[in-house]
Amino acid sequence: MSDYKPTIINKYQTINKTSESRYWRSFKNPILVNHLASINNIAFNPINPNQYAISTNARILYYNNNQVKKTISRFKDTVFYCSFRSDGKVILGCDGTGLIQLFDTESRSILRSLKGHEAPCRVAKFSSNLNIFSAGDDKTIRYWDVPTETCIKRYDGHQDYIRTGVISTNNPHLFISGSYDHTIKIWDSRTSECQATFNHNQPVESVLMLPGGGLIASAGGNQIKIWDVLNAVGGSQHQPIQTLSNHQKTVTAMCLDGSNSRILSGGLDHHVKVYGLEDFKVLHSVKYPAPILSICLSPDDTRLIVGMSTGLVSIRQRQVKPQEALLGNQKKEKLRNGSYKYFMRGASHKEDELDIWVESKKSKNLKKFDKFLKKFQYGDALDSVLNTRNQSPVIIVSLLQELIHRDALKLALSNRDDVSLEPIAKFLKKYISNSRFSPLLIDVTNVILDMYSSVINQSVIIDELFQKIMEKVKEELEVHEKLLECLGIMDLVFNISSRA
Amino acid sequence: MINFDLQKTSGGKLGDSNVVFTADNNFFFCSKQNDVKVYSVQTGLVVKNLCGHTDLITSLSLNPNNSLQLFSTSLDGTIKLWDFNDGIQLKTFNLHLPILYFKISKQHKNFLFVVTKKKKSKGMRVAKFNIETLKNEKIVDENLECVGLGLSYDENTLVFATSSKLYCYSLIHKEIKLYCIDVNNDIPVTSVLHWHAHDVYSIAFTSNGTYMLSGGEEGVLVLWQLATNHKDFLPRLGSEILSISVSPDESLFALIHKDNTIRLVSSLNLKIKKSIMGLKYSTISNNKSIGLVVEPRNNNIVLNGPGALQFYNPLSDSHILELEVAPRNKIAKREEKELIHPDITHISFSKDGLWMATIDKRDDEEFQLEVYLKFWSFDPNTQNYTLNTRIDLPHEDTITSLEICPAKTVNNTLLAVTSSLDKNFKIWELDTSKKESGINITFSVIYLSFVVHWKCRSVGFYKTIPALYATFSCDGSILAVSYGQLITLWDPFNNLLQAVLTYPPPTNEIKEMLFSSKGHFLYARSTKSVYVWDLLTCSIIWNLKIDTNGIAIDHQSENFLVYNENCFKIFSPKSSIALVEKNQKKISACKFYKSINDNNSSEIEDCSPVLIMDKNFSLLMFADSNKIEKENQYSELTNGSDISKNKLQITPKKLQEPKNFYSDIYGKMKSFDFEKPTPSKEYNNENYILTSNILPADTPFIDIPSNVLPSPSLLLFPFLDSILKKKVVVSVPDNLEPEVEMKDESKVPDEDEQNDISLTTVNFGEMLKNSVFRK
Repeated sequence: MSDYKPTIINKYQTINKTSESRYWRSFKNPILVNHLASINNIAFNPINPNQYAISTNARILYYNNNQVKKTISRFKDTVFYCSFRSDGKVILGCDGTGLIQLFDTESRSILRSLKGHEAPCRVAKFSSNLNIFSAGDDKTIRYWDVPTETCIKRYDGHQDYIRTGVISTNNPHLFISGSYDHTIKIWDSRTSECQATFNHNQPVESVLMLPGGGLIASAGGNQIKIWDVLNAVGGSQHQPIQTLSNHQKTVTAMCLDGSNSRILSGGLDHHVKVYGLEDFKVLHSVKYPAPILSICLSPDDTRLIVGMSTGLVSIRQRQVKPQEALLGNQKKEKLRNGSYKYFMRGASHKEDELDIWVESKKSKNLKKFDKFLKKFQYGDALDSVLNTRNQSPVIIVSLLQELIHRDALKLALSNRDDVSLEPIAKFLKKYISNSRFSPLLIDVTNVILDMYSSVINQSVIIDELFQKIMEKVKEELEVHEKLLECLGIMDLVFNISSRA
Repeated sequence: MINFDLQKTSGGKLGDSNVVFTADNNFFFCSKQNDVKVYSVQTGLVVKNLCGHTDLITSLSLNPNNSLQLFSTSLDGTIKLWDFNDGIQLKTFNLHLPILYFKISKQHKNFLFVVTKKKKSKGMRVAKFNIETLKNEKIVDENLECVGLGLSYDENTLVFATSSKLYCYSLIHKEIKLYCIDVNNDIPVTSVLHWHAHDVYSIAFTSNGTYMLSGGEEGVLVLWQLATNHKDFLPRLGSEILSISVSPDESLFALIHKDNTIRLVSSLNLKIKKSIMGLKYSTISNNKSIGLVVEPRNNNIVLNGPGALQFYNPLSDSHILELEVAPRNKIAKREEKELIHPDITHISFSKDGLWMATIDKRDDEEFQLEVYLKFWSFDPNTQNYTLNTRIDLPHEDTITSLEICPAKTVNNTLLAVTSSLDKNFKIWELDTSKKESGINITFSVIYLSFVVHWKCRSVGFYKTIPALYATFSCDGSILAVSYGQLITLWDPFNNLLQAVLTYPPPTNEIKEMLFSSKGHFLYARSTKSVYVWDLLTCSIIWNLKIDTNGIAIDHQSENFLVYNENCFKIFSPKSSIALVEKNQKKISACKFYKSINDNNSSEIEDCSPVLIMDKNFSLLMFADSNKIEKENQYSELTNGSDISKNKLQITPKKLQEPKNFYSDIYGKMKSFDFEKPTPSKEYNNENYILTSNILPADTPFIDIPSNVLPSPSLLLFPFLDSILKKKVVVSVPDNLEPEVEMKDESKVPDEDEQNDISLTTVNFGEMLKNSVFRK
């Protein structure tokens, strides 16, 4: 006796459902928080991914678990930038007056104030626990000693506002700055000269150091350019190794994901795009309601926070799978007896190479319609799929196909009154013009019409549905006619062009 | 000219007769066309082959007086009596009329009841045949076809039936009593059992009459408990049940299915214990057969059935694998209309056997046509093919050919080609780039969680003529596509038309083309002629008018064969004079088969063996007569089943453990293996006294260390008995007539009955004695 073979569910190709897009789609349920002014910057606490800071207006908002826990409002002007020290205990902010202030994350007390910038300070970063690089609209980059609050070095190399900067990932002495004078420059805290210059040809809004320290990504205008640092000998002459122009408007923010394999970019065109680092192709794209000014992904890849010019902050969260969570924090929590987790313990355990696999034969759980099919109750099988809410049309179509294979379609459709005929008629109305299903559904419609044409005009619901199906078919035919016309025109054009 | 002789026959239809079990339930008999095969219940393998009949065997029955003998009847008009242990034909009774049914009873020793066809007119003749006097006594003559013959349990009544009448013939009274019951009119029916919606083909009773088994078109075995009308089912057996037999101990039911399968069902839990499969798809009609396809990995042949493929080894005559290309639940038809199954129309394998491509098509002329091109990859873990890519409706019209390129292309990808009557041929490519995106939207290509998949690489056409056949050359550098009488040669990689070969007159459409395996020749055939092209000069070498049904190439040499229904001919590309010509009736497909010892075939003249499938789905292997001898020796050495055939002696009473209540309740008794020489050995040996002298030394328990033996007092009885028994044998006159042998052997069970033991007196000695006696 062979086992009952469940109905084969057809698989139709879908264009958007790559594993990549599935991953990015899992950042669901955006929490939208409205603030008064535009969101200038977002920074995650490197120690605790639940905590992050947002700089807006003259404040730094300190979030914990998506709720504002603390507000730092010791600034006199707009805070343009905030960032955490690597131990997460100190947060700095720089404002429109050029002041850089360091706060204790817990008590919010001012630890140090660094004065020196003559114009708004746009970026400040810890290069080590005791040193800070900062840059601003006064076209200077300063290197600070934090304990003494003194500026150790000052670099004047840019011709215009410096809007962005980043510390090199593999050498804390290196600072990469991007400026409105279209250049990206690399500075070393040990010397006082510019080490390398790249010309972006557009005002630079954001720079990123890619993992490994060999590549720099710069965003300016609607382009992102990738530069090879190690090749940067010839001054401003060399070309980017890659130019990405997927945004329609200026790209304002970039960030890396936790595994350092994807670049996320946000622009004034309301889009966030995800690029793969292997070939720099767009893997996914999300649209937001307003121009994007800042973007940040948590180091553990669970939160995507996007700040917009209207003051809107969108927080998207991804549910972490249990296995992934286990990988993340190795420590095992003790399971309480009788809890669900206790019951399910070891379910995600992966077998070892030496383990002996004892296979337990489980009888497959059949779907409801398969159970009916097994009993040859074809009508009930069809009803059970049609009456399920949110049933995927693919399953209904697969079942119809199986009924045809069993020569039972007529049996399943027969002996129905207007109430029981309604669901199938509604389904046909909805999907008859869907190119994936239409060949089959046209056949099914014909069968129904053959069977029930004699009783037409007896029920209002059914008549109406048939009428609507007819209209839909007419509509579809018109579309096809137009498409064929279009095809004819294109043929003509191609012919002429090939002759020329 | 090389002489080709028939080397081996395999395939064929199983079970035109019923299945008969041996008395010890360890073996069963089933007919395969003209032979009786003896199968082991445990292993499902053939252990013996009884050949001798010249036509289909219709019925089998054990000799009720000697359970080591078997009667078989055949359409050739003979009844044969076999000793199936030694595989000897003991007697042949010729009735000169095709025998349809036959029964034998224990009470009426010398009589066989037979139903024969009439010589000239339609109808049947029921007769009583005396095997001693060879007289054939008529019981009844009818002008209607007989549909069955039965003997009542008390062996006093013979029942036979025509399509509308049932006859009961009483054997008790000397005078013949004949009852004739008209089924349609006066029916003295005691009960009516209804479950089957379709025809019932076979019923069987268990010997005590409490259960009845029935099976028919639905492929469901129904077990009826007659007293309570309770039913048990064994559903989804896969095919129609043609015949049901019950083993003597009622532990097994043997079902013969229409798809050439015998299934042994355990009566305890109604589960299938063993399936013995012949060429399963011999049941499909010939015009749906794709012919012979040889799978390159193990040289199994692949046959198509409804929605599935069977891999079959023609050398060992065994079923290897069944692969469902279009998985379906096998259900019976509803009402009268037959269910339409998908047909597999084309199969092709890559040269290493790691990829298989199939096309299956379901056309019920009512709903949307379903055509799928499926690519399967070989999974070494499961030793099975798994679906990799399915392409729905690859062409708009009938697909005429499918082939996977035998060699890899320049950039190391695999290509496949399909041609169709929609005027296009399509080249498919194995896409190994590990990207999931970049989907070809024109065809709804479905990926089933595989990184590699197949996709359409290019579409080609030549003028607006339907493409009839497409094939790759052996190195994959040329693609030949035939359009009507034209042959076009393409570069499959760059999609460039290289040449067009035009020779045959426009009426001769090229149906099939093949490139020679080593040289630069292209063989093409139309239905009426064969053409050989030289590809270097693009000129024709020779053509020959001959009716063709197909061609095949030899991978060992440059030879190719052409066959039609009545003969096959082997040609070399150099001349139109056939190297080999062999007439054979009803050929449906022909192929060169890889010879078993292909290492020493160096000469060009050497031809590989030819495998033929005829319209009865028998597989015939033809080979060079000089080589056959060598190969026979070789195969005897290598083929395991042959060895077992020589060694295995069926001695039902001996192979079986003694069965008694004790062992039934407490399991097997752990006894010492006191093996006595087999009785057959004794009979074979002419010098009986000598054997009895040798016997003590032969007896294994003499060799066993004395400390593990039971006490000598226990051993005395069996030992003495073994000697005493010899004397009985010696007293038999020195005569090897089968009948004598029959009597002699029949004594063995009688002795058993005398040594009946009861539970209360069981002790070790008794058990030992018993076991020795049984043995």
